[in-house]
Amino acid sequence: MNMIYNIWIVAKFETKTLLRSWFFRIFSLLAIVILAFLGLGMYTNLAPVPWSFRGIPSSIPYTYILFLNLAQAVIAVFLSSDFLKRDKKLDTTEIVYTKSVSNLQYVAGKTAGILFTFLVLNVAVLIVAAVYNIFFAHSGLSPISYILYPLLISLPTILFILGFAFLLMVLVRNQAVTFILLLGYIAATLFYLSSKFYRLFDYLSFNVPLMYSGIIGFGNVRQLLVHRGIYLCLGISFILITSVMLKRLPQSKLSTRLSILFSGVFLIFALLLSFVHITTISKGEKTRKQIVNLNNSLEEIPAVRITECRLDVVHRGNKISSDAFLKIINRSSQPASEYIFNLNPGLKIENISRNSKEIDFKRNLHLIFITPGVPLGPSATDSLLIKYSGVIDENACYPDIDPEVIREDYRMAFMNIKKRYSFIKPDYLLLTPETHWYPGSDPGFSDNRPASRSVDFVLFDLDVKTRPDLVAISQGMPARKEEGQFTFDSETPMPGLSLVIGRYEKRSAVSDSISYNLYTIKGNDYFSEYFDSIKDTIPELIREEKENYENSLELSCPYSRISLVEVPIQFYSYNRFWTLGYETVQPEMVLLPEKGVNIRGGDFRGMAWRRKRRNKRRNETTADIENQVDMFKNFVSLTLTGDLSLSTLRRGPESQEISYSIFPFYYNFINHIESEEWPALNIALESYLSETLESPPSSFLRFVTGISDEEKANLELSESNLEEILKNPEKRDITRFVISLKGKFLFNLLANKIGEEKLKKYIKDITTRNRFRNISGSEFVAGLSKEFGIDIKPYIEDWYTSKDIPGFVLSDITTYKFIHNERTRFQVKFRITNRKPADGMVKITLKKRERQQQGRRFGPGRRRDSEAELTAVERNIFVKQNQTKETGIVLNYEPRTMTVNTMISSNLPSLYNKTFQEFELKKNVKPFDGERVVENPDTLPEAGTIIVDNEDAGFSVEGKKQRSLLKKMLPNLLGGDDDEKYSGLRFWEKSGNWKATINANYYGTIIRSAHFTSSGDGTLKASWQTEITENGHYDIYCHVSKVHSPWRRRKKKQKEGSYHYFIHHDDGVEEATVDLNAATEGWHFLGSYYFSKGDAKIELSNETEEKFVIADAVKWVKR
Amino acid sequence: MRISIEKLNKTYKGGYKALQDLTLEIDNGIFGLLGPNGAGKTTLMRILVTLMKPTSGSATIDGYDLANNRKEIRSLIGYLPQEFQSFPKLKTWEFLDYAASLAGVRNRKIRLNMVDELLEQVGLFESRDKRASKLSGGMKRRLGIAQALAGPPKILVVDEPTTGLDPEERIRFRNLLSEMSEKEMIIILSTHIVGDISSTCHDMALLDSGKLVFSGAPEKLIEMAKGHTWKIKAVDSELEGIKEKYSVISTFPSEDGWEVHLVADELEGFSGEALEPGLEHAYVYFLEHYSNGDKE
Repeated sequence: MNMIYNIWIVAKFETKTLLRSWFFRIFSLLAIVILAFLGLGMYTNLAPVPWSFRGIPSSIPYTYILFLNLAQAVIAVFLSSDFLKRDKKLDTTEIVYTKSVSNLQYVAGKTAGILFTFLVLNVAVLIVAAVYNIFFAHSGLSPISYILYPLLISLPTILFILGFAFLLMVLVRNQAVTFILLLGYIAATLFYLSSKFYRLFDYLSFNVPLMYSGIIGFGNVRQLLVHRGIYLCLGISFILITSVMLKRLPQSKLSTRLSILFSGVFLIFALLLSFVHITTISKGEKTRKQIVNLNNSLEEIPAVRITECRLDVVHRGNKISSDAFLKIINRSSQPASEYIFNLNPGLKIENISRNSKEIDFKRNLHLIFITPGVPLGPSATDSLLIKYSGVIDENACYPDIDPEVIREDYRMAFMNIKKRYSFIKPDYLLLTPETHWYPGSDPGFSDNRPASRSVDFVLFDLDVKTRPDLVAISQGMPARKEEGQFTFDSETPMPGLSLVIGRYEKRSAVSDSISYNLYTIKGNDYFSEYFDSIKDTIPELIREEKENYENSLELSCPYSRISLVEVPIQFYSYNRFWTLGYETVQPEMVLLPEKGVNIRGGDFRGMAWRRKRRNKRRNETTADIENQVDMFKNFVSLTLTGDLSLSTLRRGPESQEISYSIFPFYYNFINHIESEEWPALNIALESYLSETLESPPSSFLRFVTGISDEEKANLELSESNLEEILKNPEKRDITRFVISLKGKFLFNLLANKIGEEKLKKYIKDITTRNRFRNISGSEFVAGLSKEFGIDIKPYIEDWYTSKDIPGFVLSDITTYKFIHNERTRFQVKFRITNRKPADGMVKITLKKRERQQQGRRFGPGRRRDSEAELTAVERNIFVKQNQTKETGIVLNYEPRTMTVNTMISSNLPSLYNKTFQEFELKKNVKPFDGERVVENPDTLPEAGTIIVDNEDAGFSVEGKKQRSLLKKMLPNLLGGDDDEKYSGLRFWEKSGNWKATINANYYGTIIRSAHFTSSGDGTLKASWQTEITENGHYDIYCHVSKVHSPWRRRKKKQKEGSYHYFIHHDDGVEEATVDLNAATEGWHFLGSYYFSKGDAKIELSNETEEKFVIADAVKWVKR
Repeated sequence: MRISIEKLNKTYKGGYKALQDLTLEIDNGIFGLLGPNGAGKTTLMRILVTLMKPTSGSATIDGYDLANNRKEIRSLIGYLPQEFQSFPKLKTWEFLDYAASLAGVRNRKIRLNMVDELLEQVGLFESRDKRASKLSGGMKRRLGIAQALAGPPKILVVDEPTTGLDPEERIRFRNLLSEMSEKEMIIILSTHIVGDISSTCHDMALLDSGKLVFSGAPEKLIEMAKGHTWKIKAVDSELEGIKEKYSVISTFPSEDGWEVHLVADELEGFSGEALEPGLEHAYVYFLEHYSNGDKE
């Protein structure tokens, strides 16, 4: 009691002193004011901040405490070192030191005082957060999170940093040095260490997943307690050590010994927790590796496959128990002496029986090996009952995903979310096929077959027992027998089954006999108010959207019910090698994140806000119905029917965006091509079928990333063939892009050979015939060959094994209009030369501009929604190796842009965009629509002209590759990777050396690149050198490309700078200045000079008023 | 209540000996520690209030060993350091409240009454709500003594408490100590101002260069100086010679020149008359005497 009293007394007066400190008051006031202003921007109607910032109620206290924590960690350092400095004024402190208070009580009291002071600040900040939460955010309130975040974030952080600061201070005994050391430590942990070593050093918890779901809470309580416990224990340990090392005679030897003992105990406890933290994470990696190794050891795909599965599942507490009645068949031509099934290793098998007789089995990780006694003959069937119960071991999920990708943060704004793949809690359950919560015949990912999986189309029947207050959702015809008992009878075979249980409420709409259901957690209806005027119209809107989507895909959906199900925000899914689909989309079901956060079309409030602002700006009014219809369509198109592509040029660098595209309803869940010979055939077809859903790449992201994933895939393909890439685990990060690109290429190639319509018809026929059945690869290829009389096999073989890739040069683009049959027609002509020894194909897309509304796109420079470019013509042009083709396209309307996608090629960029100017009217011209091989290749430089491009050997730059300290510390935050051959032209980054970058505007043939550097004092130079073979006067030109960042467009009439070239000629060196205001894009004349035989050089300095200097190409033209 | 010090030594890093074989007994009442700067007074007091460890030797306070019973000893002590500043952010009464709380007065009502009494006692009641940083030098000293008295302590240790105080404050302070001495407690008063000792202490010790050179009643010290203090008349030309030859205590101008008070065993070359010694004379005589190696 005496001890507590003394601590309390010291703490009380320390708190009083601190609360009266102006330093602390100013800091607190600043913190509160800044956070209050932040809230104004983030949680009110003043700014269009995404819904994800506040959609989940805990987001607001989470963000506030996270920000406060950063600041208070620094301030705590000040205060703690200040206390010891104050204590150094011995004469004053000695009066306290002579009191009967032990050193531990004194230091603990001081610590408690500082902690209490920060508690006051935390409470004040949380009050601000609560005001926004309650009155402005419209996202509900999570009272518990207001207690949990200070406890989990602030308390361990402050205790640790105080203890650490005290300790350093008693060791160093110099406030300035201590302060510098501590600030350095904070900076190091914040910018570098916090995300390394399993986030072990993240004492600020900036990278610790702390998002608190309204459905399941944190979802990682153990991990959080362990991680935060480390810092709590370290803090206590340091404080105890400080009390021992304090420059004051200890009260008693016993108290000193106890302090040393407990300091050691807490230190050991912190180390143990660190060990637990690391081993927990590394255990996951180990398990995944073991699973893959086990799968690798399986020689072939298991022969015994499941055709029917009846599951009786009981959900009780944190566990499930299940009886699985399986009907199986031997699909191979050999008798099967062993059945292999896959079941999550967290689920323990009680017994396996056949006809009520138990049979032997072995379990190794996720695999069950059953010895049936009598081998199962080819095409013979059998049935089994497997009884099992337990939990889901999430370490067994996603064994194909790179550990680094698994470890990556799942962030939403500043908040970090725990990645979870399933949930079994007393009041919530979510199980998807990835968890293998029921026996399946697919063993899962194997390095031997990275691009394929074996798929069974199974007839599932499901009986579920759960708590009476919960609702179960799954695929199939649902029925509720009684409270807490549900059945789901399958109507179609499905490749997987999911089960969701929770406090759900259901909304339904029926259109064309299809039932569309929306399941949301009770109390999470944040959307109804935005659609109150179109309640009755929704079925019709759904029908319309579905029809449009199916028309664009030329496919149809087989389901009689489709459900959107709200699931906890922690539910995460990765993209895979063998499919474009994500785990978030299941047959009949899309699993949308909690409260619609983190999905593109879920921010209804933001959409309404933007609409209102636009109307105000334009002085327009739109009816509520119209607004709501637009919002609904936006939601559907951005979330469900949108882009399925993976490219970072479409989805942002390091994109973690999870796809909710319902495309798998149209292919993945209905059909599957299974092929041992060509395992990537299925994903190739999937990529081809979904190609129409791809949106054009963002020019903004080109500036950020420098090179697209497709281009990286092409660079990879120029070194290795598909077969090699698939087999190389080191290439996994690029494999999915390679497969997608190759897939589209293969089917476009086939489309070019046999006609697109014919190919699509063939695909439609074969997929319709084989609905809910596997199609063998050989059957697919043989059918194609037979139907069109072309041997397709060599194309596919070549597709797998060819290492050469084409390289295209686009030239002689001519456009004009003419009158034909009293109608104005528009002619576009160009030549394409394939300069490489491999056949290839380019995809030409001509677009017209039309007034239409369009959704918001990422990044600045997005198009206004009043005009959109609609595809007018699409054409694939097949160009053989070393061949030149002239192509003509005649249109009835004026095209605005032409996109040339070189698909698989060595072209950089792989995609050119050409914007057309005014079409000149021509008379007496012969329209040309089609393609023809021409003898003359693309235009080569004329005799007497020497061009040196930055890709040529004659080009060189000064300066070594440097990397700023900031860049080293913040590689992820600043984006891009200096190790890439081509960099993005990032406006916010200063480049101290020359870097290569690509853009279609730069000079080049196959590779259109330039070098750039930030403007400087003129000392950093790029130079082009050549050998002059003939004495004489030469005209000198430089290639000017006006490549500006997307932000430049906003600044009207902004003056451009100039570049300074230095021409080394016979009479010396002369400077030639290029005024970028006057210069047009293309070759720019610098002057005429006399050159004798021998070396000639032109230099460009980095002196300019522009942000960057771009060194592209120069040419010498003999007069 | 008794403090027993036995062969206490303190040697600082670098070899400086601040205390050498100090043996001393201190009983209830005001005990004066006198000595020139650097004599070891502060070191002794810091050892007694548990702020410092002696290099060797031992001390017991009320039977508690200084090395092993710091908790008990600290609960007996009130200490006023030489350069007391208080905590600038705390009000006068809050600071005393803090001191009283640390001294173990848990009952809030009793504590607040005690704080008010202390404030009355030291004449700071009117300034109870003032921050310590706003107090004058004398007021700060008074606040210092008040905090040292909070508890109240059984042993009060005050280090140079009257330095820098004006005469009025000094008299007030001495009176305060005298009042306190009537209670059953030890007050150790360290000073180099002889007047503080003579007017308050019943017992004293004289330290020089870390050694105890005298301990006993001040009267005893004065007694030892009897017959060695002189008053002589001198003209201007003689004054410098007198100062060089003897330890001059004071010099007063007179009608014929100067009246000089000095200490000396005998006068040579000057005529003068014996003077009744005071503590100041005794202190100077004793230090002179001692420094000549004629230890008592």
